[in-house]
Amino acid sequence: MNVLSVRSLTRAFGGLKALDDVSIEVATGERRVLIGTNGAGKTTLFNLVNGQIAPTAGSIWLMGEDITGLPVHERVRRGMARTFQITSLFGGLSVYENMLIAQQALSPQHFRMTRPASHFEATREEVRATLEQWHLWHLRDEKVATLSYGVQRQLEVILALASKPRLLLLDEPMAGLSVEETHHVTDIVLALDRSISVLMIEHDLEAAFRIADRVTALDQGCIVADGTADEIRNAAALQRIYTRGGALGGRS
Amino acid sequence: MGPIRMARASGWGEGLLRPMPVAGGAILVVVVLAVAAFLPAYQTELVTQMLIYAIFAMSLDLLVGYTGLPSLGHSAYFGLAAYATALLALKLALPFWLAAALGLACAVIGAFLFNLLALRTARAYYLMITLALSQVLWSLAVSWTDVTGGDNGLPGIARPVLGIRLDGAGVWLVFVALVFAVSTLVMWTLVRSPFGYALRGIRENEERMKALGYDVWRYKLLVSMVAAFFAGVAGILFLSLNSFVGPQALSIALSAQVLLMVLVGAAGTLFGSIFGAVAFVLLQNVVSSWTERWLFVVGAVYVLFALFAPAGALVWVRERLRSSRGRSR
Ligand SMILES: Nc1ncnc2c1ncn2[C@@H]1O[C@H](COP(=O)(O)OP(=O)(O)OP(=O)(O)O)[C@@H](O)[C@H]1O
Ligand SMILES: [Mg+2]
Repeated sequence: MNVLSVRSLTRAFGGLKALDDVSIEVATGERRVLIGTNGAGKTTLFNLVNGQIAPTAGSIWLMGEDITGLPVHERVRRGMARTFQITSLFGGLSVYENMLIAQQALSPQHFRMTRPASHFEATREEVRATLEQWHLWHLRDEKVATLSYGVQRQLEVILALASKPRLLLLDEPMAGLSVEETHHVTDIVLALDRSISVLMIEHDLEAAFRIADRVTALDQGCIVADGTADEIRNAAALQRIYTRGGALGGRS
Repeated sequence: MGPIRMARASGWGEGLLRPMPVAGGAILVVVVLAVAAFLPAYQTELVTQMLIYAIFAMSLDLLVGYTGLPSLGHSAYFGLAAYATALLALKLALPFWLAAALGLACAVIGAFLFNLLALRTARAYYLMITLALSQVLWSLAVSWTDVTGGDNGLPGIARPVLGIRLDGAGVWLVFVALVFAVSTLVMWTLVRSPFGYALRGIRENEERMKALGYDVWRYKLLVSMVAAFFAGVAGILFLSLNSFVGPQALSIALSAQVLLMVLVGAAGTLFGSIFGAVAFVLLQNVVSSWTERWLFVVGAVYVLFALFAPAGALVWVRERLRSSRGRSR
């Protein structure tokens, strides 16, 4: 069964069709990369899939269930997680608190108000383990807004992983990172368990091809190419888009 | 990483035995007992008023400081509970405690209904819609003279009986201090609970909270009801303190004052709200004893705060301490 099916999805903003009759299937365990020039409709597709905005037409299915009408948090409960193109963290809170909020989101105690959060031993352990795993434990008391951009981008991905999603949507996780940081985030994605399917938007084609099983190219709201990483590398359509957009090899 | 650093690992919540709350509790007990035993009724009632406003301000801080919901209509719940309690006690001759319980229920249900409306708006409009909704209640209190007594309000509510009569100013202060202590403890536990951290998350970044799986709307609705509950507690205590409730208890002025208490003390730090309430009552009464223009002085103090300590007194002091400690190292 496919973890995600997007069927004939259309979204118009006024007269502009940001997404026009797009269908995509993501298989369980697959790493799929979405490429396309600026304004192609990639982020719009994510916003539709995760429920932040409603489609003009079409439907979205998660593991065989129609989720088109569900609010964002219901989709998350069903196993979806996403990151944002523009870093979206809890800037005024510490790294620890950011992780805690992410970690407790789907736990049974998330609605409890009669006991301090520190009394929930299991969550505390998980937060510690996660921060140690990603080498952020020493930064736990730092306010997130004061961290370097690179670390913030890492945290962006790590928060999304806290819910142990079946489908992870990554919106340009490496954008604006140094070469070294890009490698680090790429490693995080490559190290993910295969039980997690990944749909990732990426401008950096090098990084994209390192990660992708399949690549889908969007242009002006439509799919213009779709295939394995090798097929896409040589696809004529892709060459055309990227030379026209002047973005061959990513923007950075 | 040394063992000391490790011991601090869970420093964000070591339970109740942190120095500040313990010291605060001890100060409260000493001050309240001393005031109740030695000071005349007028001063005793001032201290009582401080504690009542402190409960009120903390309840608003849950919304403004923790959740980032700027309410300019918080007097609605204060007044609603007070009016409902007074009406039930006077017109239906219900015993005080029953009337008070129903009065609290009114505040909570009122918050539920109001927020079904108010939470539909974007955050920037929340201020205005809460203001508008509280104005509806205020105008009702002013104009529905048969029931509410209009501008004259509802006088003549006797203070409750709790084994002993809670009549004398000193005994009443001790009772209010107990309610204050319990309320503070409950709210303080709430802001450190998983629920409380979710509120902070909503304040910081609502979109991300949704993307993490939080049903943000339900949190906002629930915290509004909790805040209304404690605003109602304050309103009922105020009613009993004065044996009176009038439209002032539902006014914009009161909503604005309690908002200033929260902002001056430092939003998002409960204890700052206590400080704000104490400072407000002091200013109001001390300044008004030596000048007619006390409102002008109070206003000037607020302007100074807005200019020099916009994050509030508690944050200002904390930063001073931190930087002086940094220098001495
Ligand atoms: N909320 C909105 N209102 C109006 N137009 C929008 C909105 N969101 C996106 N658009 C438009 O839809 C088109 C697709 O935007 P989208 O953000 O999906 O592009 P993208 O492929 O993610 O581009 P980028 O690589 O720059 O992130 C753009 O023309 C954009 O201006
Ligand atoms: Mg985008």
